[in-house]
Amino acid sequence: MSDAPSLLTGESKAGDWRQFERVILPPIQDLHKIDVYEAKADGYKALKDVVRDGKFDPKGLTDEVKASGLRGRGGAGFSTGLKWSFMPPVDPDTPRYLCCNGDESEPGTFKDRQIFEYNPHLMIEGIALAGYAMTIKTCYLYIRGEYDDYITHVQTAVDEAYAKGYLGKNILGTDFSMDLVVHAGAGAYICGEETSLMNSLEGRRAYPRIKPPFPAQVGVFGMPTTINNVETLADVPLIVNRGAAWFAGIGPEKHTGPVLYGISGHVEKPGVYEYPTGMLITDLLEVAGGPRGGKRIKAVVPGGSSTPPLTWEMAEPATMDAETLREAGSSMGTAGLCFLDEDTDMVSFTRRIAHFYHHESCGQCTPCRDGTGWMEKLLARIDEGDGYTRDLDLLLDLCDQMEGRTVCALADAAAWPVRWGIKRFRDEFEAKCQPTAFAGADLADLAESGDGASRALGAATPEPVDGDKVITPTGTP
Amino acid sequence: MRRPTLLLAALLALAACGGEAPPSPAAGDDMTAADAASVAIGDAVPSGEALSPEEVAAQADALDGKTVTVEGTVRDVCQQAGCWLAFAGADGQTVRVDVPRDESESYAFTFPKDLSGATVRVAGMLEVTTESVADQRHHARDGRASEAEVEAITEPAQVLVLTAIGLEVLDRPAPSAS
Repeated sequence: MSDAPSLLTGESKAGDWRQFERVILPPIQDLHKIDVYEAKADGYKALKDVVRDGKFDPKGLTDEVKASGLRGRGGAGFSTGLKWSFMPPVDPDTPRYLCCNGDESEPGTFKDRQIFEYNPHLMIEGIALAGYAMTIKTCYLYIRGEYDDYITHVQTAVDEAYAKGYLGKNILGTDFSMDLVVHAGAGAYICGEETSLMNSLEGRRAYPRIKPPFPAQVGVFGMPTTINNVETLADVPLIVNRGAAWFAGIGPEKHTGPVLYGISGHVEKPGVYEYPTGMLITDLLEVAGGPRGGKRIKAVVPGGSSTPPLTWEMAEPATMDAETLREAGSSMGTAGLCFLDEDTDMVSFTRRIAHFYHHESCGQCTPCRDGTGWMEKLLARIDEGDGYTRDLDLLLDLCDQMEGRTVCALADAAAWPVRWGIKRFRDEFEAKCQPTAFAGADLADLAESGDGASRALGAATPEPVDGDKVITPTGTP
Repeated sequence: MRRPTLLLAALLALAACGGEAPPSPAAGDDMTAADAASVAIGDAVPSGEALSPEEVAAQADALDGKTVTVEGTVRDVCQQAGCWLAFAGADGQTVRVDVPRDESESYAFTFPKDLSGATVRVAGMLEVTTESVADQRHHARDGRASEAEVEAITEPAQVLVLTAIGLEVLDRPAPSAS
């Protein structure tokens, strides 16, 4: 209901987080080795319990994951159990696939590689369990192409799992079989978008596909497919071993479980930290050693570069869960927080993000291909002191022309930091702009009206050249 | 050597095209228009007794926030994206079914756009909410209401929104001859 009480209470929803026991990345030496994983971390116990000993049938496992409240950790935050249940009924003549999305390419997001490096078998066990739940016999593990060392490292872990009978034909002597194929990504941000990932896997150019059809109906090679993030699947063995109630009891009711927070920016100890969902952003700043050099934090990007930046005043009462961050004016994304201190030039920061999205736009849709380019050009002009205050409204109009008008969400991801950067830090943008004047406007009146910066009026909009269209706003002489 | 190799490749390609079964729908094919086989969307709808839209409307406050199964005739479907449908029959009270969205506002699935008049069973969580004039008009336009009908919306209204987890088509009218 719309009259629900505010979630922005300034109170942590993470319980006694200082005593939290790390479970995704537990402090166990050499955990990437299968013998250590088995001996010291209950490794492959969940798989044995489910597949060999019948703890859950496929539907029962899906229901257990639903009951845990697990939401995808790749940025979209959709219920994992519900997503699994969207797969069509099993048809013995129709192959179906699982894709594990390890392409993490969003600036500020670097948590999956910790799983690849330190606990790959947790993910592999989760993949096998997900395959069992959805009756899938093949999983493609799509790892970001630039993660060359991790690809080799994970392949070693996969080989170990095959050797021990946790993957391959007749897993643990049962009639359940599953293959896991490690696939090196094609080296573009867009490859992490789920339908682009499928095209890339098929050897095609990584263009996003139009939905419908959705992957559960027509996915990889035209077959039913589910795509889950690395961290999402790594949570599944924990849910089986410790129970859905344990998982659901961590963090706020609607966004549960442990999560890997990737903290970067102007903090003393950037890195990946495992804590419950619902952590106060201020507590995460403390965890990361506080602001670098004792400076004041000015802004926080809470979930990777595409999520709207929050002013510090907006971030202070907010906790890291989807519902609260939505109310705060941003989103959880991949829980990759970037703290920006008082010395940060928000225009330059926004320009840098815009450069990334311009570079990474796949070019399939015109609003994104051209929009990201114009966005970067306008921001560069403003950043270099050559922009006008009217450019800010032009940028906002450009955002309107991009959001929701493309096949995938890259255009939205490019537009949100610009839109909300301008709205929340407009004074900084205006301070870098020259005042806008229209042909024939009284510049003295313009200065009094507070149209932007207080620069010398001599630097007004240049006179139009031949062919330029002069726009005269209503009421302007 | 090169020419015979190319010729052989061309012959093999021609042979491969002949006499094969028609291709299955490729990625990107428009599956929005429902076909006879697409009778279930999303999660399986629980079997057993379902409420009618009228019963949902009558018990709205008690059902608010609960997962319910509703069976009824579809009045309108969003013709832009298939992202909602509305039931007929709940006298003066809109019972709308929305598709679930993720955090990036992407749809988890969509409804076929040609479901008007079909009998469906839907499971989902009910929310009683007040909808602004702008949102009501937006939905009316997406349902292809006439401009006069859109203009007639002048007051915020209470709507019952079911966020679907699954839908099953029980019966649908035959397509018109035209």
